[in-house]
Amino acid sequence: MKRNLVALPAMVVLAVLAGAYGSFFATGLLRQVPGTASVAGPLSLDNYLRFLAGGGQVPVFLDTFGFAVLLTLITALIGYPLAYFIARTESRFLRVFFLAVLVATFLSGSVTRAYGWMVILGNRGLLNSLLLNAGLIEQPFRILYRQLGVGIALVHFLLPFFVLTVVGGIRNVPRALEEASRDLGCGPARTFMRVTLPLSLPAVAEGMALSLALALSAFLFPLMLGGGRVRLVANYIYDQIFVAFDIPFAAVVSAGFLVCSCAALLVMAGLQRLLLRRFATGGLT
Amino acid sequence: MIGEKEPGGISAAGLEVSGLTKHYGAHAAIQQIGFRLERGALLTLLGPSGCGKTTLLRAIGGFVAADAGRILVEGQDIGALPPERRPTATVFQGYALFPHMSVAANVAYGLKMQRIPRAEIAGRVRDALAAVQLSAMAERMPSQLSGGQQQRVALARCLVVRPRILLLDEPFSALDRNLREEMQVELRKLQQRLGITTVVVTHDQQEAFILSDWVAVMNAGRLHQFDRPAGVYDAPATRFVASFTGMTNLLEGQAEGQEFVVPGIGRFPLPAAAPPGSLLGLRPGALRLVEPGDPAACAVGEVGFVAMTGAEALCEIACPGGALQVAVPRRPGAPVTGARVGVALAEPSQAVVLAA
Repeated sequence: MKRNLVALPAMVVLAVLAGAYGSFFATGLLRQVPGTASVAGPLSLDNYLRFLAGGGQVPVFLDTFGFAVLLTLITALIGYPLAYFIARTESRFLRVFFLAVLVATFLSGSVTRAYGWMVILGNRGLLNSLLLNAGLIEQPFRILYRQLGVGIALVHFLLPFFVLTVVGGIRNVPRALEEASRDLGCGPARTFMRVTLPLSLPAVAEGMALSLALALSAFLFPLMLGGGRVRLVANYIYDQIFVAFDIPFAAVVSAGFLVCSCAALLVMAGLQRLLLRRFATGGLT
Repeated sequence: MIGEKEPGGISAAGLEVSGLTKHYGAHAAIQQIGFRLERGALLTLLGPSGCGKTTLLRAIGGFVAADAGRILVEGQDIGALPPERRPTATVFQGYALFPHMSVAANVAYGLKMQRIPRAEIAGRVRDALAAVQLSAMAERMPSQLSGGQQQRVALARCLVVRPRILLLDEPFSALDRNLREEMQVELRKLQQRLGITTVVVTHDQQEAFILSDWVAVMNAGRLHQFDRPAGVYDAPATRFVASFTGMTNLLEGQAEGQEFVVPGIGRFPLPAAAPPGSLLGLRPGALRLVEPGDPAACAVGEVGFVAMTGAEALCEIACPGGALQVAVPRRPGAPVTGARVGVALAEPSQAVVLAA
């Protein structure tokens, strides 16, 4: 009974959050008053049926999921070595320095960073000027206003989330386990593959889930660096509300998107469990 | 510090260490460690925490790169090899079992690295688990085992790769007392049956005496004595070895003829010549209590503190020049606090002369 009382504040917070979401989804049961931004009854499932029939959102969904999965994989590939270095370096100075740089990118606002990327990646930006002056290219290489530029900015945005999650996971792998592996005749590379990596896998999965969720919900970077050509689900929903004024359909799209995102995270968790079970019996060699 | 001659005149010792030194900054973790251990013998490295015993063990296993010195295993210099290429296997403190692998996968780990056929691995894993009586636990995860069982798995994981040197770092410190004694005997029997050269790190002198063929007593990075357990106990080489192995009466005094005179305490018969500056070392068990007027009494004092230690009571006898610790059998009529008693040698040969 006492434990339930302690849980009360957390439940109130959750109820408010869920309620806010819930009211948004309930809006999906209403319909747009034509030509206005208002909504009115009667209740119907029309919007949900329109969504399930593929109300123009399917290509955006596919693009967004494909893009987010790709960004998550790139983030993990770049982030894991970085996290490993931070977790395992002998030098306290280097560890603190790298962590400080990561936290600093955390603290700088997204708008600032988006402008920063414009300055660097633009047709007459720092990178292109450098390449042109070095004679490596003759025409400016277009990076901005396409997926490449948005992707670069998003990976940069996702990296600290992933790295800070995984550093802890790697540091929690006891050194003695790596030593035991070496002691039993396993070189450094195979020790990493058979001991360090599998034991840090739960943290990697956490970091990837976080990255995937953040990449799926990306809004600002595609808006500012996509030049209207990179449209992800969040931008699509934004357009439904502020361009088409169809708030009920926007609500339905976000509800559907939430379900898809949860499914994606569940699939990831399942993959992780499968992988760990194979390690348990020594099946992965 | 030379071990026994090899039978059959084989010159290579199981393990030979010479001049081994390791500094961390200005601090010397181990200094000029040297000894020679015959094949199949069990050596314990005994000393307080921070004495360098673990550093020495890790240097043999390849986890610490020594600054100077050589490590030879059966004549082969392994000093430059990484841990995975050394013929050593370590039971780590806390066991370091792989938590994401079953017991069988833990034991099979080292064999898979050697690219041994699957069928042979299965057989050897089965044999190793049988040797430590854990056949029924093969499919469990380490977290499902008790401390004693985890330790057996760690041991099986090492033995299955047939190392030429088995290293154990404080293997029993996490176990409760009954289990610890059981495991000590079990390890010793297994080690003797397999004839594997073994080095054990411990801070527990009792454990060292139970397990060992040889004991190396270390303090502050130096090897104080390399000897048989009885040698360490009966003839400690230094004052440190004496006090670390429970010789609590270390008396300062002067030799006068055949007697050692301790000011304010008494006169004790000398077992050997005592150059000036020597100490006389007496274990509490080497002394007994007598009537104050007994001609055998070496010292006279008053019973102070009495502590029950089991079969014996440990008495502190306050003399004018200091206190003596005496262990007496517990029986009716045992001394009570405040009584005036004489202290005599129970066995004159148990007195030890120590260089200061």
